[in-house]
Amino acid sequence: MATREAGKKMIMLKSPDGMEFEVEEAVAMESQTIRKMIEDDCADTAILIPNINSKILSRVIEYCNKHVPTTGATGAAASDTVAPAALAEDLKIWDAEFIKVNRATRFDLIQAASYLNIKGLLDLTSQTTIDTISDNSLEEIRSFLSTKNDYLPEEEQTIRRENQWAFQ
Amino acid sequence: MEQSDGPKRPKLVDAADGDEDRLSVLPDDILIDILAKLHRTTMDARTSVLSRRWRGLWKLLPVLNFPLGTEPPLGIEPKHIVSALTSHEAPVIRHLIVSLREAAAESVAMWLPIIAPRLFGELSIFNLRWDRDREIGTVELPCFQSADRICLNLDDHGLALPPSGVFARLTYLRMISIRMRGPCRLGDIVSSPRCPLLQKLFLRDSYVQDDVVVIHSESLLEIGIDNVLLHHDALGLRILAICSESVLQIDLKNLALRQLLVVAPALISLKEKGTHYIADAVDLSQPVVNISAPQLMLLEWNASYDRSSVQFGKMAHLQWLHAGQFLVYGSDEDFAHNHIRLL
Repeated sequence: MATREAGKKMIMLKSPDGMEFEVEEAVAMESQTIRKMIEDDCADTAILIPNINSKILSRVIEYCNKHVPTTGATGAAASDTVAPAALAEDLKIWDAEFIKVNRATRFDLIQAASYLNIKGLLDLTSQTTIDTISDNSLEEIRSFLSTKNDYLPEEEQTIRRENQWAFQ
Repeated sequence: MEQSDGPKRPKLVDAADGDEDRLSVLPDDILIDILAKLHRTTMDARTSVLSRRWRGLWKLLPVLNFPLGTEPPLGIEPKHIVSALTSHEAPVIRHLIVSLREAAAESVAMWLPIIAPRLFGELSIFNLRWDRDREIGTVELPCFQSADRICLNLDDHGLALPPSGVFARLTYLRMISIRMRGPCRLGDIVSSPRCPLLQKLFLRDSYVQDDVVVIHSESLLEIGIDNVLLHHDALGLRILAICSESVLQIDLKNLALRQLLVVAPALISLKEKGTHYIADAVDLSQPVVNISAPQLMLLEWNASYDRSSVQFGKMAHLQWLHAGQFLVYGSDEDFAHNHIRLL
């Protein structure tokens, strides 16, 4: 087991395009996937994060940096002076700014959040997508997702019939 | 009926930035995760029509939600729930939340057996009834052997609990606005033999057919019973007995009882409010309330207190005592005196 000391233990994350990021262990452990690697002692020197390019990885680290709990290494001072509600409000505003990215980046972030198992980031990134699916017609969703309808007309009718209850 | 894809909304502002379908290339589990966040199973199922990639994905969702809509028909029809649950394939269901409107008891009950073996999380059924003149029926609850939480609000429909089977993983049971019908007794089902892990039990605005409710539990931590009528018949015994080594908190409100018996060695908080105790016409010396809770720290007792009929065991740890509001001088001086005696 890696020990969690009061001092800031650093850890190296590597993206497949060769970029290295040195981050605090506590920040990296916002990712449950990395946490598990560290706890299982599979993370001696550097952790290679497959499938996530440096551009996306840097944004993920930015997110984790902001969301790492303020207690612990720095003592309870931070959460003592700032009311939790104000802190949460601040985070919400920050999140709203953070997620102002183009669609492609957002989908990449969804994938990264899912692989790294960062629940907050996954919720944040998929929310816009969910809102879209929720409130629009299938044609609109297709165009938003750039999904091509690859059904033959008769196939589509079959699918609709199979799920007829959902279209009532 | 014309097939619609749901209400029309303003056009999407997030214009296409490239023709590549970035979402469909994501693995199943992420797409399922996104669908799950929709909290609307009908919408999830509609995505099957998007493209082959999405076909049947919704059937693997571990969470199913059928909320009430804001536009007619408001709630899903129970027969459509049957269609959905019959084609749904995930072996484990973590959530099934169903809100119904004016559903007949039979239609609520018909889809319960489909889900019972696969439900490993929470079952929540909410039935809203506007039409009070409609016939009330009985929902027959199958045994949910793996469910962890069950919340039922049947808006006055009857509920028949399963006569056999163990709710082996159930930790939380909340029942609101139900008329509990036999043959299974309430006390039998929530006690340890059939609910060995039950920690929280809440029962509100309901009617229980039994005139004696005996709860015997080694797992319960919290019990809340509010506005529950035991047995219609005025001659009924109306005894509530709670015997639990584990329970920490008991809240009783708005009950009409002949006897309340509590044996709870670990109990810390007992609140009683608005409960009416019916004196025994035959034997006045019989204690009406008998409470043994040696670890009790908080006692709120709003009913009348009389040393002969209300017996509290020794409470060496009591720190907080609330005896309700009463007039020290006034029409009901006995009541006041007795309360002062309690204090």
